[in-house]
Amino acid sequence: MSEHIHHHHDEHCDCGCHDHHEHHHHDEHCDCGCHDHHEHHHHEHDENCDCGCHDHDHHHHGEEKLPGVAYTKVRLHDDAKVVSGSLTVFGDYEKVRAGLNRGLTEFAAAVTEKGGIIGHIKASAEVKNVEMFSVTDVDVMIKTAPEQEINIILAAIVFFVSEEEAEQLGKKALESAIC
Amino acid sequence: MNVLIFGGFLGSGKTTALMQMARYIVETSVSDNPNKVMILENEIGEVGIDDAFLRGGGFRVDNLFAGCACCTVSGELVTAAIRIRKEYDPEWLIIETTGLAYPAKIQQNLKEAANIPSRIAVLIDASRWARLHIPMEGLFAGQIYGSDAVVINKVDLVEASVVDTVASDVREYDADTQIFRVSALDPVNAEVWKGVLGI
Repeated sequence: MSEHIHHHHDEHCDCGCHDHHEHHHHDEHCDCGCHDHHEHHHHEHDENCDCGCHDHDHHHHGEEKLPGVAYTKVRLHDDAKVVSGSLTVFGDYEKVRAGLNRGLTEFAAAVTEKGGIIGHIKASAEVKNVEMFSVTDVDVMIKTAPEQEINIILAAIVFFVSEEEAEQLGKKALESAIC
Repeated sequence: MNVLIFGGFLGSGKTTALMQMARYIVETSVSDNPNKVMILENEIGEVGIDDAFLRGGGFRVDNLFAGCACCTVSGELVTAAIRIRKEYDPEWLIIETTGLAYPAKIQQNLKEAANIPSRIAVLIDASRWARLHIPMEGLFAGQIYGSDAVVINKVDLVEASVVDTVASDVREYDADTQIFRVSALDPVNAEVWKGVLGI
């Protein structure tokens, strides 16, 4: 664990021992209750931490996520299993859309098959097209990036299935969108 | 600032109905307050889906993620309501709860911690009531109890007798609440929104 106390938010730091993008915080919400946001210890990404006051998945909000990898988390709220997930893929949105549709259908069917209850299973997809405009003489040349960037978010709440099952089903649903 | 706590179980159609209700407020307001409606969206998970949808409808939306406003992030909710009143003082603040929240607890927290009075409206999915109301009875009863209005949604998907059964069950949980029947995918009668908002 890094020893120093940090002041965060927009404060400039030139200590040189870390990258500010690897900090948790700034304007993000954190309800772990283990610290004061104005005085925070800090960990590097690969650093082992046994402080016991948090888990690394919870922090590191700015952590870079790899394209094509489905990230999921599950938490318990009373009897509800709350699954949060995300996936970024590059490709043809129509195929991704069809895959996600299929994955969510299978998620719902699996919960029902296991005797569970679906609170809701929701996802959103944000599709980014990139076009480059350039001019060197008179005419503007427009080039379209060959693939679309698609950011998918999953939010599911289910009952009467285990946390592990709920998370696995969520992950599988997201992975269905990978073409 | 009028406050409406808009609750109801997961998948009951809260966000869809809220869009219509917010438009109704904006279109019928006679106040000169430039901030007609603000929406405070609570998501129990770490990611939001509904907030982006509401923003896409042109509304100003604030978020509370990763917890439930009636319990785990109750303090944050009160703080957010105080901040919104101070910074914007909108004509209406609509708090869309998570589908697991007990609106009466939120109402109590707002009143006790910030002296902010509020109304409660709860949405119910008529099409899933028969299947869910026994296993989820404790939650449903707790959500309906203390409400000012219950809106039975998706009535187009079931027989009228099913809606009657839902209304009868609702009465057992709260005998005094006003009950409305709608399909929020269609235009909802203004009288419903007047009843929900108490205007």
